[in-house]
Amino acid sequence: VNRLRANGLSLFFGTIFLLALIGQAISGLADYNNQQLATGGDPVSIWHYLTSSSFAVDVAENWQSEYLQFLLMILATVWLVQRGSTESKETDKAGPESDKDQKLGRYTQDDSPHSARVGGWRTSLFSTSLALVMGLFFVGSWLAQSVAGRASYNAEQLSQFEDPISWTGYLGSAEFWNRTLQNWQSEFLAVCSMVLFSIYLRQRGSPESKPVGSPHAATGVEG
Amino acid sequence: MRGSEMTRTLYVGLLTFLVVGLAYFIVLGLVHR
Repeated sequence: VNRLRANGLSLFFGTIFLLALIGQAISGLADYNNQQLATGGDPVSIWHYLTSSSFAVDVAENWQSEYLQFLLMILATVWLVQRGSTESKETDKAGPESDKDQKLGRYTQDDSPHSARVGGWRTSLFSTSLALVMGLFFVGSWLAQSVAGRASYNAEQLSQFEDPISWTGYLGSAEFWNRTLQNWQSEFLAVCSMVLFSIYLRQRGSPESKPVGSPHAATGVEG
Repeated sequence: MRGSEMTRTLYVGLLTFLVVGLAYFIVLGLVHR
């Protein structure tokens, strides 16, 4: 029980992720089959739908925007600050900070990760590994969106007796950019909301909020 | 299994899920389904 409690946050979000993905598969199949019937096609099985590029592009387009959001948030907050926001560090700490602040070089501790203590390229790589991995999953998801999106687009083109397009053609298509930007705009709005709302609003007990009694101007304090 | 081992299992499991998932989506796109 103790180890479940110790991992409660990841287990909770992992569980609701899987439930939502199952829900998306079921509702996505229903939507796909409605369109099949409306255009004179045959309804397909859940197995056919889960192995379709239509399902793949719908999942990937949402994934890429989430990883882009985290990538930008991780990197922008190194250099940019927001007075009063829980998402910002103290306003005089903009930049990569000193080795002392970052517990590097001669300031490493006995319990510092091995990759932080060895120095050289391994420590440099470890020093940006969070942004790097978010960036890799952003690029990977966006690539998957483009490849699966093109296949899905071409399947529709062919069903309407129109010409299929190349991958580079799809990268310049209205559909690709509409799918991409409609996800980006919502992520950027959400981040901007969190940055500004966390200055003036509170949630008692949440590390995403300042302590209830903290002044609005206090920056870099957590709940 | 200790708590920290479970944490590492969740971490590696998530990374694996994402890599396999993205590879699967790319393959679906490439085989033109």
